[in-house]
Amino acid sequence: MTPNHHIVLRGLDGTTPLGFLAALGLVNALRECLPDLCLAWTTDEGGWVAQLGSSAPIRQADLLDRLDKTLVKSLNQHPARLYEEVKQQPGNVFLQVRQAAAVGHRREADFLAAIASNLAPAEATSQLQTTRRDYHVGNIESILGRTTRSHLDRTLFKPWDYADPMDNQSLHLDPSEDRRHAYQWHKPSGDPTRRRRGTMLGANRLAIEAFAWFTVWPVGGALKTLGFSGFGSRETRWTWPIWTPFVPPDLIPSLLALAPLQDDPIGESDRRRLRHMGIAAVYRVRRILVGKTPNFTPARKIA
Amino acid sequence: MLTLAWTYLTGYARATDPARRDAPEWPPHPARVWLALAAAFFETGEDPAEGQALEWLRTLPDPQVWLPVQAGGRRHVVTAYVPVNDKAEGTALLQSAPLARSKQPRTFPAVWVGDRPCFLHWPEAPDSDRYRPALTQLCARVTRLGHSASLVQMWVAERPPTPEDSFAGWLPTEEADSGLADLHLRRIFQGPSLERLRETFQAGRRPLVGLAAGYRAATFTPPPMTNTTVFDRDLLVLTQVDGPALPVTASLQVMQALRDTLMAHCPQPPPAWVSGHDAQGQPLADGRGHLALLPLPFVGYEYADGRLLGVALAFPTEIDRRERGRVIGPLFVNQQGKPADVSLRLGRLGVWVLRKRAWDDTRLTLQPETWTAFPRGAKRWASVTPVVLDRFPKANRLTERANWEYEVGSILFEACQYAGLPEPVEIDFGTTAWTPGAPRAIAKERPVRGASPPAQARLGDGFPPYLLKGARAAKPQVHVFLRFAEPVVGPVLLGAGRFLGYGLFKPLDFFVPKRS
Repeated sequence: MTPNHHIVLRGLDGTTPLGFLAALGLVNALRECLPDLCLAWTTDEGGWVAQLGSSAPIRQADLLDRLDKTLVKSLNQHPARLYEEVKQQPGNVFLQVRQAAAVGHRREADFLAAIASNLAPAEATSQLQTTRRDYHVGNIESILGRTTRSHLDRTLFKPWDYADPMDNQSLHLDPSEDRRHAYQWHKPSGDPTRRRRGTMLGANRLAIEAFAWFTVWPVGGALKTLGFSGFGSRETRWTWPIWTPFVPPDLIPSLLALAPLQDDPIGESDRRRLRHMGIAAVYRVRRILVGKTPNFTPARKIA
Repeated sequence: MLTLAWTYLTGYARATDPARRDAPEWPPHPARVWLALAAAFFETGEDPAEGQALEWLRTLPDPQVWLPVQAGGRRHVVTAYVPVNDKAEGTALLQSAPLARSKQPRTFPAVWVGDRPCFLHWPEAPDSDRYRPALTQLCARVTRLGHSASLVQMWVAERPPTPEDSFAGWLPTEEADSGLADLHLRRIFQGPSLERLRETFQAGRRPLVGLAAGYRAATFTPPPMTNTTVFDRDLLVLTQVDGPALPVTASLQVMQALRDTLMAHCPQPPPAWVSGHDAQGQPLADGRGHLALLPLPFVGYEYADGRLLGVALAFPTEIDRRERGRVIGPLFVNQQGKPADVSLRLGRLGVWVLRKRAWDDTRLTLQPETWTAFPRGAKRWASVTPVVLDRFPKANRLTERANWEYEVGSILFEACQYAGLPEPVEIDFGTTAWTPGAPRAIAKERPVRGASPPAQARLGDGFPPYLLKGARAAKPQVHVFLRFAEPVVGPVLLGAGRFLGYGLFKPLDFFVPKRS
């Protein structure tokens, strides 16, 4: 589909895991506000940046206004509250969410399907979750409460300056948050700079909205996540595609779930097929463990 | 046309793969070269002409990458423990005390390149004359490429190298086929502008270059007239995975043990091309059609120590691959199709364990091309294990030196014919090897003064004599240098011990011989 109007979001770089997730989260957040919303990627100064298309004109200020209205500030109003609820009464929560779900109202059901499974142990987490379990919900609550219009403005329309503090308000999704001791000036624990800069709060806020697209399913007592392959700190990899035609939100999960993306290496015929589908590049990160904290490595183009 | 060239002053490229801290980046990404130029630009006064030249480079299509053929040898990456930074305040003096200072792990991946240059080449570079002076000036200011220990000298070259100069090329694929390529290098084209770099630097961030272009290896067709020997250039290489470190002088024992193992494990009775004997037990008439075993010692380099790193099997060209696999395969590959370990019992030397070489083992000594010079061939070859003469010279070495040398030369000339080699235009021989790390052809001995009964003492390293079964004396063995008029593709094996590891040659074209 070719939209009548589009806007290039220079901040959302699809070659980084956080940038890619923020773009998906933006689409998920706005899909009900903008008619015929769609997403594509275009090159800009060394990266693949997101382009949002719609049948209605999209202006920078309008986009921020709509996000202001759509993005809730409180954990109680966000499906992320299910993290706590599913820990306390797992059986009931799955039943209630399932009964409340409908074709036009599946936000909570999608989110729950992305963070837990009633067939897996309660301590199993999504492979997309890179914050420590004990900090995760607290960090989400901070992000929901502290994100302002200016954070989103900087995230969407400017090259990222990582000028937001990291303490208790980062989901650890950006490879730059790999803070191995020997590679930086300050000792990682108690690093005073964490309180001043290091992350993009707006990107983390939008990434939360993308979680719902990454469904999990139980495998041997753990949770496997859509788009991921392998288990363990050395083998887990996340692979995502970058597409150049405009794609509506409902098609995005299908692109994330394409089976050939998980091959290593991706066969030539599959690469050719992906190219014909409009997928211009495929990026892959490894999910490693640095101390006790999971981290994504910088992305590598694999096709 | 524009060509940028650089050499790594220490012989090593030290740059970390952006996606893996414990892996080196190789081949060097064009974006890294451009960023090194940009760093020099920002650090040396930001000459506007240089800035314009850098921005112009961003508009050019992806460049070709040309690297020395022998570059890319990866070092084993070890984890180093480095001291942490001192705190700015408080007890700085105490922190610096060696015992009080903690250390943290990190890695320093590196790739061996050598002293030959690497190149980025743009065949189409309109306006290159306009920007060449500024680029020349800027290149002269580049001090490193990658890690601060990766020191380089960079310049604008007159022309790109070619495969004939022993350079391997990586060519950018068409944009539409970029995703189909096996190698993706971060690109300059559509990369970050100088202004974006300035912003990133001021924000205390590293530049992010996410776009990559697909690359494919430049294909090289060898000259059609390249000469080959009676042995197939496709060597089966086995690496040592366990057991003692052995010098090349132990080759004969290792090869004998390997031959015994092969004979015991191949289908019985062993085929003639494995045993070297016909159905009646007689040696094959001219020695052709016979499996040869090669020791693979670390020789030919400045710091070579002559240690055996593995062995290789050279098959006669007339034995097809299926037959080789049928006879040899079960010993080296298990039922799951994975390499199997082969143990060689070497008596007092211990047990040596061999395994088929892994495809990603980058040690040059274990690459067949190091010993065959495929595909270009080599004109100059020198022995790394001694050549055992096929017969005794009639002249006396001490009293008829000139005649003896003439006769030995003739025997070596005939040996080349036996081995299927073209006639050499130069033959030289002696007891000392041409390749660094290879010991003398035969150990020197001197009588022990006052010993009763009389005894001999060895002086330094040297190969043991090659004594044929039933022979009363060993035939003379010498190191040999050969030069051919045309390039020859190996393996080159000469002399009476050629099937058991003696008389193995290494191409000298890439190395400076000690004498010629």
